[in-house]
Amino acid sequence: MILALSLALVSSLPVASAAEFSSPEEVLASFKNEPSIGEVHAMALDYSKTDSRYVDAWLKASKAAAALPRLELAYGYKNGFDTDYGYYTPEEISDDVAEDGEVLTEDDASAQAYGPFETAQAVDIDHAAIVKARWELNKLVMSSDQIRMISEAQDIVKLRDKVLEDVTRLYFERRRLQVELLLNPSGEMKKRISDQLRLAELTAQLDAFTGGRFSQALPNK
Amino acid sequence: MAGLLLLALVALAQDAPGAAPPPGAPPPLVPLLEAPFHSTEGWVEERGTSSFQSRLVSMSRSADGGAWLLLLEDGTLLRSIDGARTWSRVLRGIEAAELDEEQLLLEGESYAGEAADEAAETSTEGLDDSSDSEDYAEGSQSSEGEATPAEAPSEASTGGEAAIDAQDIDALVDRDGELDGMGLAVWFHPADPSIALAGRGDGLWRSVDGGMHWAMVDADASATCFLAMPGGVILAGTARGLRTSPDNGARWIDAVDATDGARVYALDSRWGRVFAASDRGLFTSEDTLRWRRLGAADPAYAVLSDPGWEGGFWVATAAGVMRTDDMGQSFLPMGRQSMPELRGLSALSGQGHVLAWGDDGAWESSDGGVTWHSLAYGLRDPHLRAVVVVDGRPVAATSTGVWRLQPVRLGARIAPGPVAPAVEASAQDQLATLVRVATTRAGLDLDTLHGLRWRPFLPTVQLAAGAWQGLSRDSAYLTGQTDQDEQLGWSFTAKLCFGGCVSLLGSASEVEDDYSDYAEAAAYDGEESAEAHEDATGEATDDLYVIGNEVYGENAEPLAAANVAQKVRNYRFSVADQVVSAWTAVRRLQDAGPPESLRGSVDHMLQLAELSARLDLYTDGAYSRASIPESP
Repeated sequence: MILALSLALVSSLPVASAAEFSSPEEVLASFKNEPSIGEVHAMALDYSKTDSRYVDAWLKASKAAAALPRLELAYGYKNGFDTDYGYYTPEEISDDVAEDGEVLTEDDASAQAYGPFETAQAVDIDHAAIVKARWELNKLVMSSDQIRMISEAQDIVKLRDKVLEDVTRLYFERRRLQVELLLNPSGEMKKRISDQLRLAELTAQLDAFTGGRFSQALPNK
Repeated sequence: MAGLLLLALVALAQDAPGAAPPPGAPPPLVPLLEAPFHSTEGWVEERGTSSFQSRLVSMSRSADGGAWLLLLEDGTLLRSIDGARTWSRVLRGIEAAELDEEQLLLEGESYAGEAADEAAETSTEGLDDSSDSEDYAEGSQSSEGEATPAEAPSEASTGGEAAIDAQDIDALVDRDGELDGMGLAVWFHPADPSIALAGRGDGLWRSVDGGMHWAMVDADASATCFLAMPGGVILAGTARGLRTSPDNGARWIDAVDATDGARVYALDSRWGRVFAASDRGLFTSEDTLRWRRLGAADPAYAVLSDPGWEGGFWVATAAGVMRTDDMGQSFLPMGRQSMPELRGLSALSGQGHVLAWGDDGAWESSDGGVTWHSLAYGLRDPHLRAVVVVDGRPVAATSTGVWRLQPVRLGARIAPGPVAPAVEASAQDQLATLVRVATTRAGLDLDTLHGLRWRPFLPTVQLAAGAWQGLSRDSAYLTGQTDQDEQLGWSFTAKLCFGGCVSLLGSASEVEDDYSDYAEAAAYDGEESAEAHEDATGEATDDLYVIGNEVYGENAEPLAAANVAQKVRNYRFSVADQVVSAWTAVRRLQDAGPPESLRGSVDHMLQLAELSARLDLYTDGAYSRASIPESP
């Protein structure tokens, strides 16, 4: 299967020789339909989501977060109802009634004594609203969130540099191999198969960094 | 020594490397040296090679020159098919265990909780429980004593597990004590370029397709060096003696011999003998079975036979280079310079032309070792790990990159900096601009961290406003009297707090005091809980957090910022180095101009384009946007 694939790859090679080209520009023009390194960089950045604009946005957001206050809103409502009751002896009732001018008999006073008697009612209705805002202005210049964000941003920059370094290396290794195959088409079969497999491997590696967009951008794909 | 005097006059014979000539055959002729390298050449770093994720420890080139292999300290194997210019990974390194950040945080919180509990016990119970207190104190002291102040909290809070993991990883890589790079080796068979061997920390690996694919063939031992023998036999030096393969590295046998237990650093063969340099001295054998020691039992780190003098060879020792002319019967010290920490010896072009190299750079001798000259111009990293000789010229792998010798002008040797011709001021401005742009990209800018010093001067501002309305009506039946009370009010409070704000902002605001009765109605459990927490700490905090592999607590922002700044600074140095290297390489290529051949011109253009792309990636495209001469 591998042999068949390799033979198919070899048979699909463009046949050319160094004699057909008069300048290096002509050689490299053979690949003008393929994505440029800048385009592949953009593909890798978009796929890895390590573009600097993300980092910028995160850093600004971490700083701007301190400009917004911590806001607390509270509303309270209380509806209270209060009833007072009293207990009285016959003498207290007689005295109270006597003060009012009405005279009760001893038996009537005894019958009404002790209670409980409802003596008073109270209604209490309260509304309260609280607004608290707190700005920690010192966090505008620095906060643990910002430090964490800077650390993460640096890791992202490292990752982006690493991704783009790898993409650049793979891109130009692939291009050199293409040039080799273009200028020396009549090499040993075993070496040509090996080179073609290596070319496919490099293309796949670039696809891994770009989410397959590199292959999609190649001509005849 | 008598042989040395004849070296400059008589061209003697040389053996093919790795193959033993018939006994008694005259040595082949070796050309005389035209000019030593140290007077005309300097090291130039190969572009792009200083971005390896780990230190370089070994390098090899196939006999046909078609492939190069590079072994990194973490076990990663890289392969190049363009003369050690660009590298592709062909074998992953020994994986380091990922640090579990969540687990680290939990450990940190657990530690903080235990410390708080312990502090509470101490405050309530005094110093009765002295054992626990001592443990805690000892832990703190040891952390602070061993680490820098910036590192102490993290070590204290991370506990031992992460450290143990790191030790395990180190032990894996450093099995047999090979971390210094003298125990890891990659090697091409000199007679069959398809066979390659690599000794890593996890065993011996073999490739049969020129280094593209690898399989482990021996997990019992790694290898420090290799030597091809006739009949498909390969000798491997290990940290515990020699191992032998009868079938080009597919199987390995450990025979009992005198080298058992000795760490073998280098192997060489000549005149029907095999030489093994080890930490127990120099051994020799005629059949690879019976070994005997030559000279003293002092460590020997490299051995190099002299193709121009039968029975003559050089040995790299801790005391410098030694030389014997009588097959090891006697040794004489070579040179008067101090050449510490030598690792290897390499034969260069010309009779008696030898390179001694190690952790202190490279030394060149053009007279068979009688005198030595430092070959250090342009070499920014003196830790040479491997040297491959191509057409009589050395290509060196240091711990950070690959270096080649290139001719330099005498005038250029006086001025520091790159080997390229003097750079005009405008070009220097361009380079400075590129470095500045590359090192101040978002995420690498340190100005934000420097703002920490203004933090104590900016306050915490708290504004509180409240309004309330109340209606109360009391009716007494016995007296027939009704009282009604209506309340309507508002309050506003503003506070500024500088510094820790623990006491000031921890108290309830005056607004809340004024209408506390009403506020009770608005209180709910969540708020009470949050405010109780805030009262205790002075401000709402997120307790512990992780940056990198470090755990930080509240009010540790300066410490965290210092560590992050250091990390950023280190990476900025690395970025600046990359930019300068790429920019210098562009200048060098532009000055040199394209070769006349079509293939060379294409390669020249591709190199310029690749370097431009690398500069662009570090400068977010600023290099291309500037009107710097652009590569096609």
